Amino acid sequence: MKHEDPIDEALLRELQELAAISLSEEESLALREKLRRVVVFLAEIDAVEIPDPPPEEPRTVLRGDLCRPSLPSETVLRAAPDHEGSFFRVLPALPTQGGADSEGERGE
Amino acid sequence: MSLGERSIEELRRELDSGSLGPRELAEDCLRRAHESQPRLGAFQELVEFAPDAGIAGPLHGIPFATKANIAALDARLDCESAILAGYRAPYEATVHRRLREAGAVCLGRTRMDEFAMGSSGERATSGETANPWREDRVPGGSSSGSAAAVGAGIVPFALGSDTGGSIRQPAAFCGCVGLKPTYGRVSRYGLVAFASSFDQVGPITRGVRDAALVFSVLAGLDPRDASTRGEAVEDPLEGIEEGPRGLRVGVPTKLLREVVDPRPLAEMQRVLTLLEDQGAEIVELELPLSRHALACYAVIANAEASSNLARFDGVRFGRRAEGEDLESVLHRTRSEGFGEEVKLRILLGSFVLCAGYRGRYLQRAQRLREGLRQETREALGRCEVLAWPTAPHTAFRRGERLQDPLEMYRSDALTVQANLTGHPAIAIPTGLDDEGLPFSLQLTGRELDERGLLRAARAVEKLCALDRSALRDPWWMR
Repeated sequence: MKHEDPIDEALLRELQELAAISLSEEESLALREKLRRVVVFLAEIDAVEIPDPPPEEPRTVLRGDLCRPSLPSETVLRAAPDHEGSFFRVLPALPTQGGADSEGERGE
Repeated sequence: MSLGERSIEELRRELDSGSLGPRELAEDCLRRAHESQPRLGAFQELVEFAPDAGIAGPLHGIPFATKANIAALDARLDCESAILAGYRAPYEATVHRRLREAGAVCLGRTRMDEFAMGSSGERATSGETANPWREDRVPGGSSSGSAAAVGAGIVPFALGSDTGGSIRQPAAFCGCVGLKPTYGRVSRYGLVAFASSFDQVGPITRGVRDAALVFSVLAGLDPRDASTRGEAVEDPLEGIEEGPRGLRVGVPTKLLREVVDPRPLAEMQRVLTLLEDQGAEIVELELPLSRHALACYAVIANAEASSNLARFDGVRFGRRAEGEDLESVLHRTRSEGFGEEVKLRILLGSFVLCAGYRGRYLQRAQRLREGLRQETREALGRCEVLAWPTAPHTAFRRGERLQDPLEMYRSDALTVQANLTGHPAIAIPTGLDDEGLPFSLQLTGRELDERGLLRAARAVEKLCALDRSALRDPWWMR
């Protein structure tokens, strides 16, 4: 009897893309097997008879959308890998005409 | 007995009488921390004691250690992950502010499993922590260093964080008391998020009264954490000595027979008999949904973790890998920065969140979580506390479960329930097994009723005082 592989290669590639993580070949082998084992275990969720949820009293845990004092931007930027002025400094998110500026592009 | 082995209450009396000074106490704890570090490895960083004579709070002069995922101003905050190497917190967690204002003195930051994802203390970039009772055993996790430091008598208390049992399970393995408060009782502001609807900060101590005292300092509404609760925190020490007469203790015996090793199960029965002899009533309960708590937890917690850890992108904190463009920098930073278990959990979270699987896993798990809440509330309507072993076994061998995620996760099979439902729960040491490892009983209390929970825990503690004589000449000081 043939069993469906819960984590085939295509799915593992898709998960890496979603997670923004690129696994080495060695990691792929190890983690794919571990993922399989856990996903098979999680399948028990599918078989549980879950009673209809009782009506819950709604309880909001969101605070008011108010401006409050926050950390000075220089304090926050000091902990960043790179910054310039009051901005985090990153490489271009989109290709630029003539290639990336050697000075980099700024983004917030 | 070293000073760090004494209870907070004993130390307070000595400090108040003047027979002991805060500097003398802190230096004694630091000396023991330094001497134990090469073999026990509880700390990632020790700090020099800076006495502040101006603070006269309930914890004035009491040293403590804190977990490496809780922010202290300008202190290292790397969660034992390479992705946060070199990062220092630009702000102070509310729990640290409360302890500082109560006069407590932080002496060091403790090792933990990376991003609090682990049950053995074996996944820390700064090194492993051992179990103070036996060198070949793990201290549990993820608050591994905090539990080892307290269990070893280096500091009288430490902070841990508990997402699926990360205070209670290491406390159990190291012979400590570990309290996970009701979700919302203690501010999460300054705690690096793992799974936001589960995470709670709480104390690890050697006694129940000390846990009550530290809890009373930590608990309360915090405008900086919208999930904190505004209900008054009753003095948990009031009535704590009342004893077990009339206490109704619920026990899901059928479930426990399926998941718990015979020895911890027999130990729990021994403790229940002692309680019954003292006038407690044991109530047999069925908790049919609870057998699926671990799978439910693994789905929801990993979904939340994959979302929370998306913030580590090499832009705002920690390290950044080299790359040709923004996307390659993002991928390389995360691929090089996260350890294997963290990657596994992020991938699992991405799996249960992705189109095609969300309904089958995440939505069903969320419904199951509601069912579990209801089931637990109903059970706690028939009794004041639920009793179960904290873990299905005592501390396991180092390295034994590293390659098997399911075996590792099963160590938390009995602790995740309280995180899923939000109820308070506490681990109390009750004795030693024939290998000299601590047994631990877990009690789960009614929502916001930490006082009742601590009262029941104190009754257990008085019936089952742990013999700590094996730690008088410990292997890690030789």
